[in-house]
Amino acid sequence: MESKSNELFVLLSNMQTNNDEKFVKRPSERDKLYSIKEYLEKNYANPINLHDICTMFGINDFKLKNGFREIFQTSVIGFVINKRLEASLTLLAERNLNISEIAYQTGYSSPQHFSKSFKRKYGISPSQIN
Amino acid sequence: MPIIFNHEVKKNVFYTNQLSTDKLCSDKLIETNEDFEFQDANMNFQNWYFDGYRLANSILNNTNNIVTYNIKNDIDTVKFYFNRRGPAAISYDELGKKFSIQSGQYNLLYSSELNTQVKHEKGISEMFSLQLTRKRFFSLMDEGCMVMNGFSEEVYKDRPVIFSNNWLHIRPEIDHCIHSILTCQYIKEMKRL
Repeated sequence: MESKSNELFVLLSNMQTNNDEKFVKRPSERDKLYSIKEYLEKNYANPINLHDICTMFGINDFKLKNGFREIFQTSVIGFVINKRLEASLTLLAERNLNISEIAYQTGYSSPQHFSKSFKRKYGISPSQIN
Repeated sequence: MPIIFNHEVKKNVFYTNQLSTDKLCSDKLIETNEDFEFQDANMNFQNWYFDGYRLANSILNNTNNIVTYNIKNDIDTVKFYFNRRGPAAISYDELGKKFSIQSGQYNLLYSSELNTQVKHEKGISEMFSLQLTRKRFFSLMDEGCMVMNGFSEEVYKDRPVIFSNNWLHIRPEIDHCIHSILTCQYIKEMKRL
């Protein structure tokens, strides 16, 4: 927190007042992207369809993909995967469910897909934790 | 002296945080996370403070009409405000300034005591702030050889000042930095660092 606070201070001190945003130009667009992030945080375990999200929040596909990355530094899908894996880590630590149950509960379509995704992020397979 | 939120019309206090400038200088990281309700809104208010730094994040969910409230802040700090989400109307007594701000805007100001009136439309609003004791502020200025035009001079003279009369745009690198702070996974001493 101290290092990030200092970084924030330095960023502000060096800040020019020009606007270098490429994709999110209006406050209303920014608000929509924040609402989408909140929606994903609550619904990461359900199937995510970008087209449905665009319709639900009244935003176009280009703005969703690029605006989301611009503000949150990750793609929409990357964000969802990260939420799923974070949730799976908690469930693995609790040791109440087996790997297949955790995979389905966190939104994965198969345990194999979950294990592959888990290993890519954490460098070990879920079975090494469970 | 604490931070006090009170109702604009009824004048009743609905939230008090017993934070003081002394507590803000604690060696250890102190965290608070509170939820409270007022009018037709509920607010989640998180605070972190240590060694001359205070970070705070408030998320207000206003389910009905406009909510208006006052904040009395007696903590002597330089304040950086980042309005991350939702429009708001803000008025600062000590600065004699009123602003209508949009999401994605920031500003910085100094006043040893700050009385603020805030008005939110229906919807979700999110405000992050970084606050530094004067000692911490000048130490960072010195270490970074930074200049903030006349702003730091006014802070030095202990006079209320706002950095910009037009709230500035939060650029992506600022957003990313705040996001990293709010999603920090570390705990205790590692988190403080």
